[in-house]
Amino acid sequence: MEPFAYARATDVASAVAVLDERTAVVAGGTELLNLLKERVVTPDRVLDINRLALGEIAFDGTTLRLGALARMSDVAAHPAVRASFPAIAEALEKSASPQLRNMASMGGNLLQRTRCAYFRADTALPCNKRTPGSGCAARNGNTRQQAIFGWSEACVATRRAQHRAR
Amino acid sequence: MARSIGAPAIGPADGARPAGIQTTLRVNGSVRRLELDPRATLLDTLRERLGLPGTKKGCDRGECGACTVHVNGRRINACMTLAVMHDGDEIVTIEGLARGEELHAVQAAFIEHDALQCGYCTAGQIMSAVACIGEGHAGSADEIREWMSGNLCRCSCYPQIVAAVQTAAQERT
Ligand SMILES: Cc1cc2nc3c(=O)[nH]c(=O)nc-3n(C[C@H](O)[C@H](O)[C@H](O)COP(=O)(O)OP(=O)(O)OC[C@H]3O[C@@H](n4cnc5c(N)ncnc54)[C@H](O)[C@@H]3O)c2cc1C
Ligand code: SF4
Ligand code: FES
Ligand code: FES
Repeated sequence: MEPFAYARATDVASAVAVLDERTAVVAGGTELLNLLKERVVTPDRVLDINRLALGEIAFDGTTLRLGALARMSDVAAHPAVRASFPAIAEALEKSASPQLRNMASMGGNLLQRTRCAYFRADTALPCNKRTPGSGCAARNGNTRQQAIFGWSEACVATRRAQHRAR
Repeated sequence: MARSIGAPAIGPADGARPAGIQTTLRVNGSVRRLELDPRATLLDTLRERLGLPGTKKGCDRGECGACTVHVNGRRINACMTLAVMHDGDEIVTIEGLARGEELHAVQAAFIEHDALQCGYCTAGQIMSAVACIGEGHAGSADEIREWMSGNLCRCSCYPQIVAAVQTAAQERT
């Protein structure tokens, strides 16, 4: 990992106020730590949001609300989720491992980067998503876990929005 | 103490090496105060700074479970979290399981069932198993296999591990 400064957020408003291109949020860390270790992301600052009150899991009979910090294990175990949204509970319990689900947040789950092996490789292989303009090693390489629909010559991984702190 | 968000600015943006962060970890019942590089994982901190090498590093990327510890009563992968994120947290490692010379029931069951060969995965297996039983996820061999799936064993002692967890779970009830 490259050096970074660490800070702990104490309330949502001031956390949002300090977010910028060089700051990475950390929730469970189960995605960010891998990206930091492989230097896929090299933020100047890591902002720990784990002490914010964003772990809500609430069902009012119509709408299910999941906080960004609700953990995969807690969502899967929640009685209302199990009773009214069994597919969500089942999908969560089929994911990762019990240990990872105790850490992984819903917000972090939605913000995962592509699982393309080249993107995550420890050596710098051509990857337009990681280094724009460097090419795409997966186009004629190992295409396991790549997209069937929505790919382009520039990137054959699942198309998805870029997010902050690269 | 970590700097809190809000004014002043949270850290140097000019590439200067950030200072160590004062962090208090409660490990196996004792309070440990450390000044930590923010990059240190909980796993490396336990092993390299606190002299607790029982917790193992297999993959360092969340895949093998060798680094499983309990944080505030829940099993997690110590390789996938920064130690500075755990200021004030209650951490239990394999070294904290036995009561003096008296082994924890899961440790005794692993010996009884010969649930290891090289032993590299064992600390993680046992920490995971203690949590698995505590969660109520050890009701049958199938359930144990599913809920112990975050712990890989290269020596493939899986049948013995399942038997050990089943024995320990039955003793508890
Ligand atoms: C071995 C392994 C197996 C896995 N298997 C599966 C699987 O089968 N299915 C599956 O779906 N996933 C799987 N995952 C991925 C896992 O679910 C994600 O890593 C996890 O959900 C990320 O959540 P987190 O809280 O740990 O995120 P973090 O690592 O903390 O963050 C992930 C990203 O989101 C950003 N972020 C997080 N929270 C916020 C927020 N509130 N606001 C703004 N930005 C935020 C971070 O900056 C970072 O970029 C697996 C992961 C591993 C390591
Ligand atoms: S498909 Fe190509 S460009 Fe896209 S992430 Fe993988 S290597 Fe990078
Ligand atoms: S060392 Fe942490 S999961 Fe393998
Ligand atoms: S006993 Fe060797 S890896 Fe499990």
